[in-house]
Amino acid sequence: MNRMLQGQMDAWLRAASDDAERRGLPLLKPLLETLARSTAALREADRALRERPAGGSMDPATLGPSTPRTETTE
Amino acid sequence: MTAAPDLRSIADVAVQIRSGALSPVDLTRACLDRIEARRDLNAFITVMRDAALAAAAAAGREIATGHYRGPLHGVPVSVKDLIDVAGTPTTSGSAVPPGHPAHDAPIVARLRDAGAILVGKTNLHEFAFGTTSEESAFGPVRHPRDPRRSPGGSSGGSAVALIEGMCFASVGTDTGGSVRIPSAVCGTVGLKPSLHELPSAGIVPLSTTMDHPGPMARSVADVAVAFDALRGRAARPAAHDSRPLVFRVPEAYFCERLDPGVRGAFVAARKRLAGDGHRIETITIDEAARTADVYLHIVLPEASWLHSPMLERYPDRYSPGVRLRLEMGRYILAEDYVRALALRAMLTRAVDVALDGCDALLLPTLPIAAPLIGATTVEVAGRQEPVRAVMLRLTQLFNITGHPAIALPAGVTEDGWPVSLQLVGRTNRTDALLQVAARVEARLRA
Repeated sequence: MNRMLQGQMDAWLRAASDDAERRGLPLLKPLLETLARSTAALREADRALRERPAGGSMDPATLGPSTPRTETTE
Repeated sequence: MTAAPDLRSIADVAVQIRSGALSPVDLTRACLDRIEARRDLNAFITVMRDAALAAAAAAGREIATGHYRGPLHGVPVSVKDLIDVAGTPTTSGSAVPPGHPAHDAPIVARLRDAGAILVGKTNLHEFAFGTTSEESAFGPVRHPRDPRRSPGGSSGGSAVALIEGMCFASVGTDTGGSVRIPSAVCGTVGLKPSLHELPSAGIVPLSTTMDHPGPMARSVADVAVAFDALRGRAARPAAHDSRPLVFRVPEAYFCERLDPGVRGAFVAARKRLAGDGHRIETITIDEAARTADVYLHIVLPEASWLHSPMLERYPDRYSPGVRLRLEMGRYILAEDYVRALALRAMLTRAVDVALDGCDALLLPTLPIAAPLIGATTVEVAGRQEPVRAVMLRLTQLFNITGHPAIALPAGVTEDGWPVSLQLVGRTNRTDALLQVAARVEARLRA
C-alpha cells in the first residue's frame, strides 16, 4: 500500500472507530479494521486497473478483461 | 415411530397424482407430519397446516375433473420466510416486527397458479444476511446429520426441509450464495438464475443489485420444474444432446484453498467427466481475487440503506452479528461504492470472456463441509479463516456478475459429508445451464 493510501485509511479508521465508540458500538471496531483492509485493497485494484494500457476509462469494454487460457486438457 | 421421509422426485409423484393413484391430501399430510416429527431442526417458522390441506383437497378435486395444471399440481412446496405469502407474517427470521402482507409475492402466486401446495415458510439466517442460518429469532437451523452443525445458509431451512422430506421443492434467495451454500452443505440442488430473471417483488431485500430468488430441490429435474413454475412458463423441449461438453475450471482463487475432502471429491468428479469424453480446460479469471472486496463494498451499503429505518427504530431486536454487519455499511464512502460498481463491470466482462467457447464453468460450490454452529473460524488447508468469508468465497462472484449458477451433489467426504459442484452458465441462458447440469448429475449419480 502506498504512503498516501495508508494515510487515508488510517485517518478513515480513526474517525470510524471514534464514531462507533460514541454510538456505543465498540464491537464494531475489529470489523472496521477488516473493512479498512478491504477498502485499501479495493482502491489499489481500482488504481491498478486505471493504469493498465487499455484502461484509463471506466468503460468496462476497455477495462482489461481476462483472456481465457487453455492450460491443460484432462 | 415416524414414517421415513418421502424423497421421491416430483416427476414420480406427479405421475401418480395425475392418475389418481396418489392423493394430494395424503402427500401433503405426510410432509406436514415430517415437519412436526423434526421440529428440533427448526426448519420451519410458519407451518400452514390447515391452508395446505384445504389447498390439497381442492387440487385433488380439480385433477379428478380433468383439469391437470402440470407437474407441480398437488405437490407440497415451501418458501423462505422473507417471501410474502398473503395472510402469514413475513418474519425474515428476525425479532424486528414482521410484515403482514395482503398479497402473495409474484413468485408465490405463480407457484399457486401451477397448483403447488404451500406447506409453510422456512427458517433462515436473519434477513438473509449470513451463511449459517444460526442467527435467527426462531432458533438456529440444525443439520439433520449432526444437529451441532449448520446446514448452511441463509436458506438453511429450505435445504433441511428437502433432505427431510418435508416438501418437494422450496424457494430461497441468493445474494452471495444463499441458495447454493445450503444446497452444498445438505447435498441438494440449488439454482441461482440470472440476475432479474425471476421477480423480486414481495421479497424482503438485502441488496437491490445482487438479490436472486431461486428454486431448490433434490434433483436438477425437480429444480427445472420449480423454475418453470416460478418464471411462469415452461422451457422449450430441448433436443437430445449427447455431444461432448466443454468445461472450464477456474483454478486460481477458486481451487486454491479447499478442505481435502472437498478437493478429493471435486477432482474425482472432474475425472469422471473427462473419462466420459468431455473436455476439461483450466482458466484464470483475471482479478477474481478482488471478488470479496468488491462484494463487501456493494452488499454492505445497499443492505445498510435498506435497513436504516428499522436499524434506527429497533436496533436491539437484530441479532448482534447481523446488526454489526449492517452498521458496517454505514461507514463505506460513496466513492468506494462507485469503485466497486466499476470493478463489478470488469469482473462481469471477465466471466463473460471465460465462458466464451465453453458450456459451463466448473468449480466447487463450497470449500468446506458443514461448519459447527457457533464457530467463527474454520481451518481450511492448514489456516484458520472466518467462517463467513470461507462460505461465500466460491459463490459470491456470480452474484456480482449476475451469471446463472447451479449447485449439485458431487460425492461425499471420507466422513460422509456432501460435497457440491457448481456450474456457471451464460447470462440469460439458464435453460442451457440446466441441460448441462442434468447431464453432469446423471454421470455423477451413476
